[in-house]
Amino acid sequence: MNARVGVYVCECGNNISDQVDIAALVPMLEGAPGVVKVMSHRLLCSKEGQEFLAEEVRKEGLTHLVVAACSPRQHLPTFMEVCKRGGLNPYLMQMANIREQCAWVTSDRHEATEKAARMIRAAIARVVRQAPLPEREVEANPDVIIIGGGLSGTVTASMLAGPERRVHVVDRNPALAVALTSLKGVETHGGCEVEAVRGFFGNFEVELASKGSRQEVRVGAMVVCTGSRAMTLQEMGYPGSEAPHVVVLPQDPESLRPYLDALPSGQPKVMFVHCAGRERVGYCSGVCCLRSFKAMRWMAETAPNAQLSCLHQDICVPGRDGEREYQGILGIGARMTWGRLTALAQQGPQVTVSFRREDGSIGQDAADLVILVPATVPNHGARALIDIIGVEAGPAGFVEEAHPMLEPVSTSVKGIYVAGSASGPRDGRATSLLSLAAAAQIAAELRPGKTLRLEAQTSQVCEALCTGCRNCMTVCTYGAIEYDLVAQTCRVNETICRGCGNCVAACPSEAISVKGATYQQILQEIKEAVR
Amino acid sequence: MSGNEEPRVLGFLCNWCAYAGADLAGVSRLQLPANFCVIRTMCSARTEPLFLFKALLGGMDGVLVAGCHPGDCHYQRGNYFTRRRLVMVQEILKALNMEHERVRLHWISASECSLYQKVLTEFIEDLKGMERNVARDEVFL
Repeated sequence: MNARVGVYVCECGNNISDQVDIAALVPMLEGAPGVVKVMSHRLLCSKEGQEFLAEEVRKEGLTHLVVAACSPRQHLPTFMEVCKRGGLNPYLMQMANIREQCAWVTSDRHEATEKAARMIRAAIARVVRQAPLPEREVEANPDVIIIGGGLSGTVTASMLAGPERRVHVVDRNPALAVALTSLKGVETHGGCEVEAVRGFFGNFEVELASKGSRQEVRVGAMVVCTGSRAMTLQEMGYPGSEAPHVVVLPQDPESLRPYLDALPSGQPKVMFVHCAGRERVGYCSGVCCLRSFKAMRWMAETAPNAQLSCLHQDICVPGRDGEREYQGILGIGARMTWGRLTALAQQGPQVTVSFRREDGSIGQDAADLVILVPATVPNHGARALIDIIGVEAGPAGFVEEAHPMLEPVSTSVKGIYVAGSASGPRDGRATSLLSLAAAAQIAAELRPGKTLRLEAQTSQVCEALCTGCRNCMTVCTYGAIEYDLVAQTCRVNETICRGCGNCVAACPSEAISVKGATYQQILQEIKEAVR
Repeated sequence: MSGNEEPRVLGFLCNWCAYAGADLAGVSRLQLPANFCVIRTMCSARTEPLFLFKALLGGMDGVLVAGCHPGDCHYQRGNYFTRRRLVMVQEILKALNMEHERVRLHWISASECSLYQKVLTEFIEDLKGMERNVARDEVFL
């Protein structure tokens, strides 16, 4: 079949026509191979312009379409829809960005017109080699598995569970909170661990193992809610930290009561040491100062005769209530000292605390009880889980978000989300917010009864050319390529592939190509662009 | 460069960072050399080494590859592969006795439109100081 290419140049109000001589441009494009019609229009993205374009596609019997207008980042989806309305496969359309990357950046009108012609010719050369691509969809399971039954797991589960969506909550702890077990639509798996994960967004198979038994759960999405924990004395590694009157600040200050009861009478000295383990982990956990101040306030009420002091580096109390809490501590007479803990030593009934001051000199203080305010680290088993499910982790071992601002609850694997302090130290408020965000994102992306739209422009392997070297498997971030042991060639799982094209550039035998950006398509575009 | 011909440059820009930065340059009305043309790829890692040679042998004086900053790749780590491939391409150019400075890699984020302008202008200035690309007359694609 002979190609019938239509080229439509948008004037974009005056945005393009001010700088590009449309009247001169149109004849420059006529006669290009395959082109049957070149026409300009005032504003193609307007309602009237879209209708005009769809009608042109039908009327002229176009097989390919070039829209010379704004950036494809702005209106590619718009014109793909127009193609569909005109009965043309949307992947048989190419945009030439003659506004942002030509009219707006070129001061000379003649040069801008020449450049626009070159860009459009490149788009024509590429579009005639494009192939129609099917819109691909896959049935999706709306169920969700949540790994971790703490605060984030509970919040996420309570938001997602419903008559159309079953939620599984797995926790290595056999006893899960009543808040979870009593939720309708939630199935809890206490005392279980994730052993293996197969599949992809919409269709995961998760293998769970508990003592002596195994089971498989089928879900559409996963949420990592493994949380975080306090660093231990051993991990901090301060000399002398095994002294009996040294303790790590517990989650609930009430647990400190036995230590308070053992304090000598009179005016015992209690010292809170902030930033314990901070140098070792390499980050400020950001939630511990406030926790420490709350514990100090509790202690001032519970043991009013105790003399409170605080060894700190920076005071980090962000948020609405932080400053008030800090002033409250100063109000109860706690003594604040700047210093970095270097060593501890039990000397008689008291603990000697050595620290380095800001000017480098060494200071010492003694206390009857030393409470270390610990750094927050990823929970036990988080590392193993991260390896099993295949998400990316940061240097500290927390799950890495896909993007810290734009996608704070997505991970590197589509369909696996992260909430709460599994992605970094968080307070309760941030944990809840992230859990709600994860639930909302899943509710939007995995709707019961709806299929999932898959990326159409994925990679594919030509079996006849593939030598089975597996270079492509090494470079693929998503694990989208499998090796077929029988055929001894590689194969792309098109449900996982995102179409970045890294494997194509890595293939030494030109056996892989990305649909919609094949070697020939880009090469022909280059040829016209360099002409 | 001999004669008063302006050097010509082809750019391979990734959709998510560099191409968006180039769009922003347009929105900000930053002026750029006219003999610069862009090929949009989804990831800078799609830029096969062969494309760079094709562009140079087809008569381009320089080729710019631009992608997301390290750690910011939309596809996790595609740009690291681009970086290695570009080093390889430059080594091959050296072996062919061609100026390896004709191929350049830059990290340009979606907001760095003025960096984009600076990179491009400097590149073209540097190319003016070089010999004319012999492939412009002697080699055909």
